[in-house]
Amino acid sequence: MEYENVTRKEAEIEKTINIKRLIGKRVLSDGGAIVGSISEIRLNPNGFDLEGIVVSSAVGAVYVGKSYFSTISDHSVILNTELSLLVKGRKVLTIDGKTLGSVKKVNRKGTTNEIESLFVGSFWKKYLIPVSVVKQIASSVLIKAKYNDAKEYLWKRSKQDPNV
Amino acid sequence: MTQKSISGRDLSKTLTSEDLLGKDVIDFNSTVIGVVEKVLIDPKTLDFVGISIDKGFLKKGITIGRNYIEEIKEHAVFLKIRVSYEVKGKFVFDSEGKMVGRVSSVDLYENMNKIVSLMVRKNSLLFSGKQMIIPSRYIRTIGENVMLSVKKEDLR
Repeated sequence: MEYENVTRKEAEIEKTINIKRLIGKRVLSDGGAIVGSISEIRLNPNGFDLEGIVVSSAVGAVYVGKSYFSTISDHSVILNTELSLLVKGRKVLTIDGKTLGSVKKVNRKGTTNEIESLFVGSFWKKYLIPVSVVKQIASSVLIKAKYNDAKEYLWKRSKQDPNV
Repeated sequence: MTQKSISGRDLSKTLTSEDLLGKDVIDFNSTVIGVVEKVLIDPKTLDFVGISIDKGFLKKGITIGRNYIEEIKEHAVFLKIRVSYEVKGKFVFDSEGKMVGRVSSVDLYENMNKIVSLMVRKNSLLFSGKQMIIPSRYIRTIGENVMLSVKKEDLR
């Protein structure tokens, strides 16, 4: 389609992306995990800049700010990080390989993608794991400590998150 | 009951095959690969050379050399590598997030854990039989899936 251009110093139309085409497209994490699909694109009314996207994901609708974007193309949005909310459901292992349970809830620092602590539950035990004892978050979550003390957890649970 | 020893050395801190068999095997990426099925011993030197892993029902097992084992812990064996064969079945996306296909097989360098290339089956149903070879130099990251550093069009 041919366009008449009415611009001053804005980018040429060939160098922009049609937002309409992005709706429904895939959102990938840095490591290639499929986060979900784009359901909304949000612009800042002051300055008209793109502020973020709303992603329909397995953990519900997630608004992801543009500072977490790495690439936007006609086919997808690729993030520059792994979405911490997707850690929910992953297996949690101690440093000696024992399975503690799975992640039931991810507590983040404010609205950022940074994890503060994880609520981990198995059939009969639940643990609050601060991120300082987490060694690695990948396919599973590997923690440094052994975490056998249920009493310590019960005390923490009642103080920090009575809902869990 | 304590056993008598004629080894000439203290064997109380050694591991037995029973300590290893059935333990989970966890790779560098915290993925549980499977469980230890066999302990492999060199018949000439009698050295421990590796383990054989059972990956579960209908899945092909895998043998891991001793050099790739990081630690043997109480509940699991930890590897110091991410097992390259585990890439099989992952989706492959190009630098723009366009799906290229799914890894159907992995070509490794001389039986080592180094990927030479990936055989990728194209995702389109129409071309489901078509495969393409992606050299390792085009791989940007391997995480949950494989991300390439080039566009799909440039792979041809």
